[in-house]
Amino acid sequence: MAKSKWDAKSVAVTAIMIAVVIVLTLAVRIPVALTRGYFNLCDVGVYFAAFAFGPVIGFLAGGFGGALADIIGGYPQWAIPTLIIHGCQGLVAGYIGRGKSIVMLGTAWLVAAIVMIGGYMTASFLMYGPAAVLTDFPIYIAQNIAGLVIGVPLYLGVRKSYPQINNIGVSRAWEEEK
Amino acid sequence: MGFDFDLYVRRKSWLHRLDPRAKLLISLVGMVVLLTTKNIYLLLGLLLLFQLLLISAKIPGHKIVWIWKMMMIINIIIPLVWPLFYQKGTLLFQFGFIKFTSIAFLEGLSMAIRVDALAFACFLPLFCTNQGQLVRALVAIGMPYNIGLMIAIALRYVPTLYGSMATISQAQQSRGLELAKGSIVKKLRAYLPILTAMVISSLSITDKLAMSLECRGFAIKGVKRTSFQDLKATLADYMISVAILIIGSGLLLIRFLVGFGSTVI
Repeated sequence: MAKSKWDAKSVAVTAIMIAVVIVLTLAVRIPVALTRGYFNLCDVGVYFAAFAFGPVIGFLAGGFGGALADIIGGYPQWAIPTLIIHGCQGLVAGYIGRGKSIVMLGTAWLVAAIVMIGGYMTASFLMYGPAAVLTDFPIYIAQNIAGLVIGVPLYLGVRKSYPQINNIGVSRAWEEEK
Repeated sequence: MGFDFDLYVRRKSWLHRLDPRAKLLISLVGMVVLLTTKNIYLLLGLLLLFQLLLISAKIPGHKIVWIWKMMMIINIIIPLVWPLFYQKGTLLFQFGFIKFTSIAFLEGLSMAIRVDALAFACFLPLFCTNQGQLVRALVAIGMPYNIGLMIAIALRYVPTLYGSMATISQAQQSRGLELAKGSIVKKLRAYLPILTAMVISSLSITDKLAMSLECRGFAIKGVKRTSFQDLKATLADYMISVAILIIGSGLLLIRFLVGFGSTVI
């Protein structure tokens, strides 16, 4: 495993990105969805972390950020599904879109959005039955659209005004490992 | 503002003293049993049990009411919408092409109770364990130390970032940023200047954070890591854990061998 490759910088970045995802989820809440309660900017944070820092930090920030936000925000029964779903969303988005141009970011967004929506549909179906799938479907699409409308320009804007961002991340260390 | 970032309620009760790993076990076994049974009496019993556990842990009533308030909408929606997907059984009345049957109502009711009980099963360890203990328990049951550390740091920074986001938002609004005007896309785009500033300010935290981690000897090779507080399970913790496992596996056995719980009644 690449455990020993985690240096202090990558741990710090991941921890802060987890915190950013939690804050984005909790700070902007528009209550709409019936089972999961609120419309939030969680996906913006996930896409930003994934695009800026790659699949590993994308996975950790998305998964643990989303799961902890669910726990703190009052939906702890969703924590484990969220961990997996938002984690995979960040993983996919980071794998395809890390540091790329706007076209690849869009592609990454599309694939990750499908992963996220499909994941939550399955989880709602398994936990709450078919009724929940119908009521929640629009909200997941809306959250992903927020991820596209804010997440992509946010990443491009931050990359432009804070270029040091390109030197942060664990991906280099992971690629070196054989 | 004024948002509480911690569900933990500081009290002196047996559940607070219980080893956090045992509390996670209660939650886990409870969720497995809840997700495998449909029997309405068993679900009601478990729901009642979780209420009693919360009361025995001296959790204030308004916290419990808060959970119920959050579960209210779904509690109403599920039994009402369930008949749409479930058309079998004796007919109660018909509305257009939708048949409302008694068994469908019961199915919906059992689903609603399951949803409530699942929520309470998850809230139980969160109400009576502080965040540090919870992370320690997760690390003790096999979560990688680095991830535990990240979670602990993230939880510590959530109020800080929340505060900075509120400050930035107020600053931008005082410069004329409109957050609640226009179409939904326009509203969302209005958050962009706030989020950009917030993300950059939080990225600058990471430099100091990385330095302070290195100062404390993080990622030094060839040193055994020790911790300030270790988890120590007492005999009572073991006995409670074993009892939970026996009850849980017993319920699963009668579910899958006898079939108790495969139907609503």
